Amino acid sequence: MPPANYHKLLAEQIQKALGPGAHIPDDYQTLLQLISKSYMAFDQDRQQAEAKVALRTDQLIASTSRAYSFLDSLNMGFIMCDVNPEVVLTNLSVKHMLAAKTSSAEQPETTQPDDTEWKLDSIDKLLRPEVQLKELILESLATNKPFERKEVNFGQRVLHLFIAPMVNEEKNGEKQQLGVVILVEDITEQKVLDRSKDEFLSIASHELRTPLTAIRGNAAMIKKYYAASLVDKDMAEMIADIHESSVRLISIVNDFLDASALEQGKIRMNPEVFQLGEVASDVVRELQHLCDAKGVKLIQDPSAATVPSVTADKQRIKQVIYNLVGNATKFTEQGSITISGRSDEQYVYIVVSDTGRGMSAESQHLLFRKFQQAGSSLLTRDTTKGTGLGLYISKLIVELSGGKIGLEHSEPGQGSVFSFSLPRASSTIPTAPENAELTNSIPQLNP
Amino acid sequence: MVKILLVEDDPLIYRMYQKAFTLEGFTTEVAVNGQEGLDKLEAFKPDIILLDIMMPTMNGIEMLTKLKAELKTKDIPVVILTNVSDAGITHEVFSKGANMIIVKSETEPDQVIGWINSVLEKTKKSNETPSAPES
Repeated sequence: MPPANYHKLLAEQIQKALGPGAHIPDDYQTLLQLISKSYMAFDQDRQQAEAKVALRTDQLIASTSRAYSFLDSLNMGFIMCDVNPEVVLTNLSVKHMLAAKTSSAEQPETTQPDDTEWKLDSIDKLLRPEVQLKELILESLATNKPFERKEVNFGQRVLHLFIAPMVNEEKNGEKQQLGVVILVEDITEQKVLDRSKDEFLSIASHELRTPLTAIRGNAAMIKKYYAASLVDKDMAEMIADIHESSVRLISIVNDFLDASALEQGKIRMNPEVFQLGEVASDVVRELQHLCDAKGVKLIQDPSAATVPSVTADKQRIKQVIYNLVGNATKFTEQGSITISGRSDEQYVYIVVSDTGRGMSAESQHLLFRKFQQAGSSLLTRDTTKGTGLGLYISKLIVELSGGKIGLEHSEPGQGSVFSFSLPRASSTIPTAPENAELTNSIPQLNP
Repeated sequence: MVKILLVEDDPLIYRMYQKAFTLEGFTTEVAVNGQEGLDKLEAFKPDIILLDIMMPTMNGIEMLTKLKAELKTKDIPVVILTNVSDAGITHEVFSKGANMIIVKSETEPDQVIGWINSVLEKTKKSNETPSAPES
């Protein structure tokens, strides 16, 4: 009722009380005006307050719907559960994901996935036996810790689940558990892409190796059996270059295959107990002629022969030492390359030091990365020094064997010191597998 | 004279080895798949078989299984010549009786010849020893 009406009503009441036509004393008039005024003031406050509430309500509705539409526009599935636990909120993405699996089986076609209200039990049932969702939620609530399931097969799809507890910190500092949030990411496309990339690499590498083997083999045969017919010096050099090119190409292809197989975990390690000194001697024997040709001394320090035995894949570790020493020969023009050894209670270390080119601190951090040659830009790459995969492959092998590899020290113009560690052999680990008689040139003999 | 049966489907590879073996004075017969290899066994009577794994019609593992099951052919040494260097396949061909695996891309022809000679020598020795099973 507008304030003016109240004023009129009050005046009428007073007139009625005093009797019709009676004079209303001035005091009464003043009082009446006072009451009306204060009422008007009160009414104004009330109107302002109401306007404020309306504004706040609009804001709240807007921000809530913003939050909802934000959640719905996420391409990641979102489920919120309370502490019971029961589902309190799901977004569109997760509804679509869940409906995709059910629609084919039990759900009628007409059901609008957007309207389906999911119960935790039915979500849990859909995910079984891949994941025990309810148990994970209960565990997350009990421990207040997040949980992750990286590859969950869900019908034709692959999902990534992340379950995190929701905690509200109150003003008095107390923490109140609200429930959990479950994020569901569909990683199917990503998995398919990864797989086709890996398959491409290994198929391409396999297919490349066959013709390369023929180029190398034929060139080698011309060199061996037809040397007398190669009277022209240039022609002989061309054949030798064809041979060398194919050798280099095959080793690049092998590096690619190795790196991709190691990354995919397709390489099975055959751990056995052996002496690193023996393997180091093999490498020295194989690379001796290369160092002799460059006038660089290749030294095996006696300490390398006396280190305790290790448990690892012997052939793979030989590859690591070969890579380290091979690398040292590539970057050492004069002086020496030394292989030494040391050990502590848990690990055995092999150290390869050279008096070569060395590296600046800035370029050191690029070591052990894929395709990296320390300090090289694409245009200054020295292609005769290899693909830059050697150290990366070595790192993967050493880490798979439970050890570490790294650069100990390097200074430009002074040389570099690389080392790697392997766990010491313990009596609990089995020794050499039966048919592992691998030789230098790789043929495997059946014992 | 040493007789080699080379079972390999890729002409680039079999022509190369055929030349290498001929230059070394071996008699070589080529079969382009496992079935042809089995068919040629009886007439050719090889001293050693060089066997590729991935081949159409009949692959190397099938041929190996069949020839090791035959009394007449089970003692012929088999060298697997492949580019598939997979631990699972290595284990399978050894358990089926192959004598050696050579990875093609890791080996040059004269190395292959060296390995063939060493396998022949080893099997000859073990056949001469009195304890060796008679064939």
